Amino acid sequence: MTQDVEMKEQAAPSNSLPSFSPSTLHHLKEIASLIETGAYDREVRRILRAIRLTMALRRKLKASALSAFLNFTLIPGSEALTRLSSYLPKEDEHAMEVDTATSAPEAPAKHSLPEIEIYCYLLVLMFLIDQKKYNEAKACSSASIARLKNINRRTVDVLAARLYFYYSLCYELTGDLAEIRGNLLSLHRIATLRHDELGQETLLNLLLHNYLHYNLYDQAEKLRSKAPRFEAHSNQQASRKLLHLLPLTSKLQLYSYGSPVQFCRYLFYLGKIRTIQLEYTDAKECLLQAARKAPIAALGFRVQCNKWAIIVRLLLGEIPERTVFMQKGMEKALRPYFELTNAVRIGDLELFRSVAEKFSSTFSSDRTHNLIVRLRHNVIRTGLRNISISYSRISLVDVAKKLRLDSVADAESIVAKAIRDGAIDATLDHASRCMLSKETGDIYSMTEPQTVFNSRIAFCLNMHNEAVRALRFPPNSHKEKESAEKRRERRQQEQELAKHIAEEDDDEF
Amino acid sequence: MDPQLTEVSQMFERFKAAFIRKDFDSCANLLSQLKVLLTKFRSLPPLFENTPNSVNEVLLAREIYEHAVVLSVKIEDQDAFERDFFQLKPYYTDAGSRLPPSQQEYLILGLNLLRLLVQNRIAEFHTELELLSATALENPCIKHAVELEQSFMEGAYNRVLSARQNAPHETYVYFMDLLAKTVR
Repeated sequence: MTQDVEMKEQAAPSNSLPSFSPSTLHHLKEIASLIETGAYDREVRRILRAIRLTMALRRKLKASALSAFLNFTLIPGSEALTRLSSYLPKEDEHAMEVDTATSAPEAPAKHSLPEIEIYCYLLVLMFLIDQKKYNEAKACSSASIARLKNINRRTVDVLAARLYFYYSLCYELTGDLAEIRGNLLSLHRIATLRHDELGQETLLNLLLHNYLHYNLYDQAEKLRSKAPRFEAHSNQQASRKLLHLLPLTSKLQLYSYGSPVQFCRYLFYLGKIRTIQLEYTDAKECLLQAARKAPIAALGFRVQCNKWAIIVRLLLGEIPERTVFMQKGMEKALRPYFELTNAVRIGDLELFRSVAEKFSSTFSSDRTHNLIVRLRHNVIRTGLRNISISYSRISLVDVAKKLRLDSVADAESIVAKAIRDGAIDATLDHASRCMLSKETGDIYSMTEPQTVFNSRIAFCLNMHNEAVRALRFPPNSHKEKESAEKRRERRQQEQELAKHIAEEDDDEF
Repeated sequence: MDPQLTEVSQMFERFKAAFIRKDFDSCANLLSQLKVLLTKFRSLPPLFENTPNSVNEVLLAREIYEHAVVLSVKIEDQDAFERDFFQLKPYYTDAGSRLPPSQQEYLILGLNLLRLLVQNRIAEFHTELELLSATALENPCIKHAVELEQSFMEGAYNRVLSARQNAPHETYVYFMDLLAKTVR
């Protein structure tokens, strides 16, 4: 760990700098050193940590600290430095000069690692987005992406994934997301060719987001079903027959995503697609899982997940519990959906219509308006079920009146379809124009309790199995951990060997 | 004017004449020749190259495909309808911003919705529906298809049957007949 010590020493003098934000600059330098060691040791873990630390710093970033940092790390006069500094505001020219003067001499020119360069891009990009300078951010991100395409190092992947995200974000903020679709697709292709899994996941999600932003569900689904699925891919192919027997939850866990956050996003997008395609059961699983797996801090994301999940559950004919709407920080956002649920629960078409009208702006901004329209059918069903429970014999005129339908003929055909679909247990008497509900017998004398019990047991067993599986080490990582020391030794030996060979080569000439 | 463009537009005129005469055999014949000629234009999807008269070419191609869609309805060929519609779609989605909007657009989109309904491809129906803007949903042609789907889901078949009488366009009648058959 000689490198580590060395870097610490370098970072130490900056502590004594009379800079106005010494702590920020100091932290940044420490992060840079972390990235450097990570790059030398080829340990992605360190870079991940560096990114986490950066996120904590994000709010404190200032133009001056940033430019000082850039001057410190990047080679003076290099292309990246001139380009990046041009994006930063020049308002505190004087302070910057002081800073560069002090930090320039102590920055040795050996900081030419691509990791550091990409990291600088990332920092500047984050800063620009935070300062709402979207056009500069766009230019900066495009430049960084162009640079990224030429770098093929595994240690850059982590940083690159973040960059992709901000790249897409700043184009979304300026409202021309469609522009970068082709670029994202080609990046995704590159990531796939380089086996950059994190990049693949991130880019796939960005692409899905991109398509769904323009309601292009068709294309999104096609891309999703064709995109490679990482290691689990071959596994999945082989055991596809088996998978049909498993419930969806366990199926999804086999995909083995590297990053849980990306997986979460993927689930959300998948859930949305499935909802549009009317596969509500799948959609419900995806959306609920996404909501459950999302980090606590991602409130907006969880609210979105919950909104969609509520609608899907309503479409399935379920009524979400009250606790769903009372989650902390979500009461206000979910209010329209709460009232909607109420209307569906009661089966009152009039109330449903008024709620849908009252919150129509909310629904259309959430882009759930078309789904709400689909719900009308469920409202009628619930109303009809209520009627069939309370009356053993009721004339169709009364049904139409109770459901507030326009005509008796409508009511007749609606009742007929409900009976055919098995929603209500009744018969129609066409001659006397009335609906006869069959008496429901004692539910405990049927097989119903057993089937419910069975499904619950199956759920518990599944959960248990998954928990056991989660405790197991993934097949290879255990071995790797053991030989981390050895590997370092081996690498050293290899390097020595390489040196020898090089010397021998020199000797020969 | 470009000789190729003149050739295509002349042939298209003949096609339209045959179309009005309801001479559908020669229509289909001319159409396949037109489609071959269209492949020579470099400004059309998927290339979208910027040639001097690209706007004219794209407009002409769009009109040809619109007619092709309507023709396929007239000769009651659903597969041809699907093919032609997918060829037409990029002109609405990708080239839409550069061209003046087409009069026929909503009519054809509505027809497509109806086709998906007839073929019982409800998932695709809803996918297409998501693509439409709020103004599009107000259009009578599209509204007609959407309302039909709703009454279908609810089971109000009598409404489906009566909808045939107030179809917004003559071409809708073919699909409505198919629907009515399904209902019965």
